[in-house]
Amino acid sequence: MQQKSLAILNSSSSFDRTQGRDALDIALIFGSYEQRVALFFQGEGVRQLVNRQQADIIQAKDYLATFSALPFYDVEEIYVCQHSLTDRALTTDFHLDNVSVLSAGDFAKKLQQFDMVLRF
Amino acid sequence: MSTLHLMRTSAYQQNDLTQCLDLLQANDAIVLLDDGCYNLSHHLLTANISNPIYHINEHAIARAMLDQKKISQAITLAELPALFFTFDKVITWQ
Amino acid sequence: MQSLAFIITTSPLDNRTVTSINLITAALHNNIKVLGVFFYQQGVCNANKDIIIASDEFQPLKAWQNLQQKYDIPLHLCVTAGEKHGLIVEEQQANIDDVFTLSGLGELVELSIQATRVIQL
Repeated sequence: MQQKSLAILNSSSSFDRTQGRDALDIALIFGSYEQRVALFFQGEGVRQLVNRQQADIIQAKDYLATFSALPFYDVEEIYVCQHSLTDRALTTDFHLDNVSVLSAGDFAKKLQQFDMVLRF
Repeated sequence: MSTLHLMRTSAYQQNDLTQCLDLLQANDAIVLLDDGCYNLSHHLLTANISNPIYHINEHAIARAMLDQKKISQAITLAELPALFFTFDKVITWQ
Repeated sequence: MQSLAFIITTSPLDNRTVTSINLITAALHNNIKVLGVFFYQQGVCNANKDIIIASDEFQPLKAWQNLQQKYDIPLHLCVTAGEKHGLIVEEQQANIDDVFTLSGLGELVELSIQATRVIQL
């Protein structure tokens, strides 16, 4: 199959509309078609990675738990912008392993490596 | 590598423009369309950005927005599709 | 040959949808091949033929119909998103206009691989 690498740029907080879920669905489907997919978290999007969120308390679907399935779809590249974390007084206490924290400059350069970018 | 950034939101309302500028690389360009045209007067753009900036003329006129500081090149929506291919990829900010 | 695919996520009541329709039309007038349009998120509401917009206003559905019929562009409707937005597939009460094709997200992958550029709107 032909290849086109996809970067998904997540910039919405965990429960902002259906942005995070809709982005995840796209990541999983591109992964299942054996395309290179990476998730990028910038701005409020970094909140999707924060550990110990409890979606059930607000009757929200815990789609964040599905992130742990990403490796089964060969989606193994997860990048987060250090600048966005610092801005929000967040640490690297994530609910996922293997998250690469990149400086703002490296984050931007990494994104350039992909053929297409979808933003949610 | 180069990216064409389609900016559809006003920086007076949300911070897409700030995030876009954080990602901006030397060969990138920005197109202001829809509410993105309100950024024609925004300090984030009027403070010397060396990348090319375009705006959709009809979208700016509809919003009574003028490019008073001459920071941007006016194009029509009809001219935009050809631009997509002169960059390696397109990112939409909306 | 250079080609485009579009993803539409805005509702038919959103003026940005007018922009999208005009942009796709402009691409076609410039002899750029448009491989397909994929409707996702709120964009699926564009397929709902029960939406009534005052007759003196822009009619997005009519514009999509024109695009599909004149240029034979596939209009792919994401079924999962459609169901979440009240679109009904069952024949008896179907409210999806005929110019739309029911598709899954896999179609978006195919379009993305084939198109020179994918434009998310």
